[in-house]
Amino acid sequence: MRLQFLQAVYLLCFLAIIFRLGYWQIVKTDDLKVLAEQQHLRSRTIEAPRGTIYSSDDSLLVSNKPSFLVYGLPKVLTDKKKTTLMLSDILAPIKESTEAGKKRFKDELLGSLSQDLFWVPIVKNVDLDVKDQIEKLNIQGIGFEPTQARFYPEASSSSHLLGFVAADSSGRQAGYFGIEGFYNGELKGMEGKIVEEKDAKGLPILIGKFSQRVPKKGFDLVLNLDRSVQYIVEKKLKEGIEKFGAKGASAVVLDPQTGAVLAMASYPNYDPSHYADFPREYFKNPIVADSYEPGSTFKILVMSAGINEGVIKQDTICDNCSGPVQVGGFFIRTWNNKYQEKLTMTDTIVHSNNTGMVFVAKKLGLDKFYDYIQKYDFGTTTNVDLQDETNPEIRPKEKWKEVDLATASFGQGIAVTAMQMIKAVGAIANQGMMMEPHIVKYIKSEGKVTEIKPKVVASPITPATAKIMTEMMVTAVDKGEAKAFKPRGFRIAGKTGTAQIPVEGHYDANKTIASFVGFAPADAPRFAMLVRYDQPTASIYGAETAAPTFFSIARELFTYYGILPEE
Amino acid sequence: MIKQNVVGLKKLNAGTLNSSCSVRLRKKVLIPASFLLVVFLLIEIWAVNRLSSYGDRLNQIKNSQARLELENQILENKIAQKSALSYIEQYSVSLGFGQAKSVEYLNFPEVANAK
Repeated sequence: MRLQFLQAVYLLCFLAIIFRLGYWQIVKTDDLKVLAEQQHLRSRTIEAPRGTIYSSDDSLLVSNKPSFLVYGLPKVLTDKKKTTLMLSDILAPIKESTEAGKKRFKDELLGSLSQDLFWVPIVKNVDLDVKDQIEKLNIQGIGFEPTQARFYPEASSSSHLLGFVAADSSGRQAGYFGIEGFYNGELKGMEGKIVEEKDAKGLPILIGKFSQRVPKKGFDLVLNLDRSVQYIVEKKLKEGIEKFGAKGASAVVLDPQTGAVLAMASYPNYDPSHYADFPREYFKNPIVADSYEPGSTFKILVMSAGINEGVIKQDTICDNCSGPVQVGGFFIRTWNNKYQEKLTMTDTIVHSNNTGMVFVAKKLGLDKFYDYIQKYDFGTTTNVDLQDETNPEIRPKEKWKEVDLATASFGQGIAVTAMQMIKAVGAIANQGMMMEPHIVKYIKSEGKVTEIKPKVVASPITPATAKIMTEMMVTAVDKGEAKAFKPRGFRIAGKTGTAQIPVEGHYDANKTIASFVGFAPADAPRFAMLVRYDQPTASIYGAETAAPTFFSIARELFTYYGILPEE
Repeated sequence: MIKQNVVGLKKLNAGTLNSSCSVRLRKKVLIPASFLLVVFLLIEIWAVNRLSSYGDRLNQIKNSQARLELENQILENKIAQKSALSYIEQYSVSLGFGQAKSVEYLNFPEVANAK
């Protein structure tokens, strides 16, 4: 009996073991397999290096800077006070310049290392040299995580054009604004992954499991931007904004034959490597994101429409310009309230005469006037490869009144961006062919080079009209208000502009956008340029602010390109 | 009968001869083969053991590769920084260079010429 009982007990035990083993080996097999793999296999994500950005001469504009995040493991650290002292000796002078700042850094470091946490970040973006110094201290519980930061050898130069890189909502790097934002997909690359078997010490086992997805570096971009031209433009613009006491300043230089953007600068700007220290309003690029009323610079486009349509010639005389013109119950006056009996169309451009422009607009009529606004691509984006481009709306034709046509003829009551304006003027410089503006010249990816080819988007005027307009603009420079600043001996085509800024439903006479647009050399243009000051205080006029800066930049560009004076 | 015996003896002799040959052959092939097998087994055990413990060396190589890549990137950046136009301008000013106040353009007859 006892023997049978023992047999039964043994059988039960045996069955229990069988069932338990069956449970682990059959029911829980997948869970255990995963657990075992987690212990044996190590998986690492490798961040793909972001693509590099070069200027047209293959100089680095933006690259990657290897840096490290220093972290602490409070539960591993034995002597926290000693660790704090040792680390703050190295890190405090880098992060803080004042004695008070260094002390605050030390206190904060001790505070974070004393927390009841497994992992605490200490300092971000530490250089390799600093990492080496800390490693030599051989502190158990201090570690490093490699990170990538963007590096700008030319510092804040071209910041509006380049944009910056910051973490997105998932913590991954993403480009914002400018080129970084527009070409984020191309620049970011594809992250890699390594899965390898490790031993008890955490070291890889050579004959173990191994799988690898190699990270793909982002595409490199070569820009049309000429860093010498950019440097000249930025320097002159910075001098100008201080000299003329302006609230802001912008300049863009284009190759009118290809649409290549050679330089683009705006102030106030920001440092893309420390973008967080600047107000958000500084991030958008005023050349493509800000709309403004172009004022008298718009006259050359309206005049070109009139000539192209054959309703006027350069020597056509205005029969209604001897005094203020009444339109729709409003009086249109000239900027200096001076009037000319026999005003020709060339005189209209040279003296920037508003009544002469009203005459041209009337000759054109609303339908043709509106057609040319559309032919010059106002009301649509320029398709420049920058993220933050906006498109100021042009009122529907049905809503235009007689006075709207009159004021639009001299660039008031119509909004454009600086990029739209330079693109349109580029058509006059390029025999009537309007080019699509482009920042990027090539996209390079693993031996493959994709060229962004010049693209003609429209031909709003004929070559003959473009030639007549060029002559009128050359005369405007030679005989106009800004003639004193013109470099001697060169033929430069240009036009000044002073537009009042609408404030709360009316125009403020003392707040203006002063601008100058033109190209040179007039007969074989190497560059078209627009210079704009926002609310200059030294003088409200474009002829006394934007024009001198334009000519100052042009003078440097003539030397840089080796262009000789014609006279 | 005698004939049969002779044939049987011949067969026996041939069988004895065959079996002695195969024993010799077995000895000739199997012993070195077994020896080789043992050697290979030992080599495999040694190699597996060696490779397993080679992870440390591999780790060192990977680390030094990563370090060299980092240093290359840092050097590239330093070169770019020293080639920046703002730096060049600053440096040239410290060397006593300055911007030309005016540019003189020379006409062809003013330039020295030789035949």
